[in-house]
Amino acid sequence: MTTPMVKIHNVETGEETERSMTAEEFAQWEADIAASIAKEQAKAEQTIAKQALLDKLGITQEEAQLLLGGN
Amino acid sequence: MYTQTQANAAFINDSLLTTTGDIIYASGANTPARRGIGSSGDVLTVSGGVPTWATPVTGGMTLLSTTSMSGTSTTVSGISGAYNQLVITVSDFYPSPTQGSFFFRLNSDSTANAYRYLEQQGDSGSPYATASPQWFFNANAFYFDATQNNADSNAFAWIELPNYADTTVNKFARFQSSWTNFGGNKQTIFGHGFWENTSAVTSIQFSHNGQTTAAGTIRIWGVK
Repeated sequence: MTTPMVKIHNVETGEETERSMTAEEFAQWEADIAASIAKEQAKAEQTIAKQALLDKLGITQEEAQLLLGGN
Repeated sequence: MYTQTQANAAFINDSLLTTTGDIIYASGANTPARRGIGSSGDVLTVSGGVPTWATPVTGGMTLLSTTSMSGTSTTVSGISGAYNQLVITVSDFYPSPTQGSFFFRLNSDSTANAYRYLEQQGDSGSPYATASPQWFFNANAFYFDATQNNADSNAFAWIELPNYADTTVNKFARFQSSWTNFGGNKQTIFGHGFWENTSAVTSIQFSHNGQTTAAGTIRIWGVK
């Protein structure tokens, strides 16, 4: 299996290396993506919940920010 | 008229000076001594109670490395521990093929040791009125926020790592960034936090989460 490429620049030797990810790095890469997706989903759900609350209160986001003192 | 003994006691013999740039100092009471010239740029200082030439200690920033980003991550390793602080800039960076959070890891540590406080603001409405500021704990990297795959984003990041070479305390980090999203709206963030690890920082890994970095230049300065 071909894994994505990574770059390493050793400042001490001046050597620049480009190589495929190790299995460990690839596992971390996939974990990072999964965490990012989960975070985006949570953000989307928060946005939906926020809009639902605004609708329930019958106010706009700007009005809500005014109430909360936000800018 | 002086006798030789009287002359030796009253005068300094010019044979003491053998080379251009020599100066005379007292290595002890009534004891003249020669100090040879130092190197260009040296300054006269005191060591062990006598004058000596030495390389001046200067402040300012020394550019340690310039690295073009590519692939899914770019790691700058072999960073000298001879400075008090590191200042890192990342310029004109953006991910491909889609958006992804820009982040850095100290010593490529992907365990949950990064703690950060992040504030973000954009000029398009108030998109982060509830999402920012936020405190992130037990994160596996110092994340900024999603930068778009916009070649015209003019993204710029500034990271400061004081005390990075210390081996007894956690490492503090302060970072900020700004960029332009598609549609032209501007984003800026400011964050600070710490890496819960007492190791000296010798390498820094940069990446866009889940993406390839299409472009970007990392510069690292050492600050005395």
